[in-house]
Amino acid sequence: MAAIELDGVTKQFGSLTALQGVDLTVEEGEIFGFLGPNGAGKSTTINILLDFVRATDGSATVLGHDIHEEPKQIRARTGVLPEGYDVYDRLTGRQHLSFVIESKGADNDPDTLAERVGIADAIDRKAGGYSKGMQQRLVLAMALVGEPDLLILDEPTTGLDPNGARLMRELIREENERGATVFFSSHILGQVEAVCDTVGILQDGRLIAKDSVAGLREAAAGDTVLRVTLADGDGTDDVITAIKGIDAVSGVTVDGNTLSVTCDGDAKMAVLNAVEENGREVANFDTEEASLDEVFAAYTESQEQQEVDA
Amino acid sequence: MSTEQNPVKRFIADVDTSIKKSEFADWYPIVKKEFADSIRTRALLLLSLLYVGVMVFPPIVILYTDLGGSAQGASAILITLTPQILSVLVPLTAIALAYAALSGERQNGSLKLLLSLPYTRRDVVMGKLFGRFVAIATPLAAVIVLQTLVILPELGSDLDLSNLAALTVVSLLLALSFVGLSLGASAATSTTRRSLMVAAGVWVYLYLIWDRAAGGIFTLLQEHASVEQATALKVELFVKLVSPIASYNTLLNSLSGSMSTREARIAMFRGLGGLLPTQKEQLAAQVLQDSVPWYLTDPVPVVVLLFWCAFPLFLGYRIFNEADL
Repeated sequence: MAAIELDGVTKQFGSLTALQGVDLTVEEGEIFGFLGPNGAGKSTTINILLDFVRATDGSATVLGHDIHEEPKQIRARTGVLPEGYDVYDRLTGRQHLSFVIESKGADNDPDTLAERVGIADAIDRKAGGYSKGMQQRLVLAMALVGEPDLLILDEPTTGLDPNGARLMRELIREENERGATVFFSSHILGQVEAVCDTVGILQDGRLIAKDSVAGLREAAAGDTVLRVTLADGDGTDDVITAIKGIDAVSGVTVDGNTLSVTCDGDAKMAVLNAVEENGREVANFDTEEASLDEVFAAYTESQEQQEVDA
Repeated sequence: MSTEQNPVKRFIADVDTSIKKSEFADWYPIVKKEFADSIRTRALLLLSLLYVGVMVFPPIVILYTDLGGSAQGASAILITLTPQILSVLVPLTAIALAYAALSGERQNGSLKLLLSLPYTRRDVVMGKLFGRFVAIATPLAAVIVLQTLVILPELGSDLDLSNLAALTVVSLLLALSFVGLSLGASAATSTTRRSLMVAAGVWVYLYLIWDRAAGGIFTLLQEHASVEQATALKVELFVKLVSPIASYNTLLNSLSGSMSTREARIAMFRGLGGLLPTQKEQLAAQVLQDSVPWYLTDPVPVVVLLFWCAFPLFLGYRIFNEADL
């Protein structure tokens, strides 16, 4: 059974279309990174999953329960870090945690939870006095109550310092190893790349890609840029012709005695061989793999390009 | 677990456990959270001080300084005046404490934390209703007890316990009405500003328009629809009674033992907050001489007070339940 299943989910706010027929499956046990620029519809999707917002069309299930019919069953087994939340200023961290523990009928110890997210020393202070990062840690601790089967985290690293962001990644891995499915959204690729099994990219309310991190990198016009510096820069025409003759090569540019060859990742050896077969000596070479950032840009741009073409 | 020695704490723990096992268990934690949260608000503190200022200090001045007259006369005034004061203070307290209960959480986003937990929106509304009600009921009941303690030494054996019980119960009922009303406004609107406008608007309307409209209906029916005077008067009385504030006052009169049901309904025509006799009062005395119709008997104001809690709350809930948060 899929942990999350969206089927043609569409949401319109007045004349604005926030989501257009999103189909998405998140398998049980995976860490799913939900990626997209701000305003792409990530939070709307999450708000629909949590029944905060009602879809205009389409249907969805979470942990096998219909989102609109059985929200209570879903929430009983889900830990949530929502976007744009606020804590109860007048209640202490402990009161927050105790309230969640009682609400979920769980038997966690508030102190242990606070310890896990690093706010143990502030647990008896009013949450209104917490910094943004501490509030985020508190809400994360609340999400961990009752060992949920699913964690839904909306931009979980917002407001966290680098230590906090690392803690977040560690907790996500720990919870996943325990058996929880983790669904989290981000507009920062580094966060997603570091922990995710699978990534979905949302743009303008449409899911434009869903793949493993490695798969996405490969799929995005994939390309590796191989820079070959020749020992001697004269008369490179033959070499260039030879390199262009390789199927996997999509382009070659020359700058002095440096050739920049754009090609599939596994064509690097073929390029180097072609250089040597033409009797040239390779002084140096390096490769530059496309970062997920470029992948992301490539995906979103190609999407925009298609729209312009259309 | 419950090896608690202190009997009070043990009792509270037992109550806690039995509620958790009851049908209220669905939203009971919200009640506790709401109570813990509201009891720490500055608004409740200020309002409690206001209660003490209005309900406890004046009797001390009247009874124990040279300013007051005879003790008997003074306490008679107090008994008439207290309901008048409460009929203004209680609705305002309830509105102040409940109008932002849902819209405030919706506006700042803490509602998302609440609804991430295994609660339906209905659970949230019910939990808020009882949590806020208990938060208001606590200082209200406390100040009534405090006032009684202050008057007690002078009144001694003249103290009428049924009067006190009626005052407490009916005042709590009025608090429940206005908590329900303003919570309904809070549920129906997305910002605290709008909820306050709706809740306070209804209150002003009930205070300024309702009673006068009832008088207007009497004239309209009698002069322009040739309805019999007695019938028109009964209609007017019923319309008056549908206001929770009028219901509170007249129910208190008939339950406290100082008036019969008939006298209490007739007294609804008194001007100046029940002090000034009017012509219509005499007319009402004639009309109701033989019997009080069922729709003017004591259960009706009770139903009215409960209606003003339940109906706005139901409407507000219906809107809230469909809303995108």
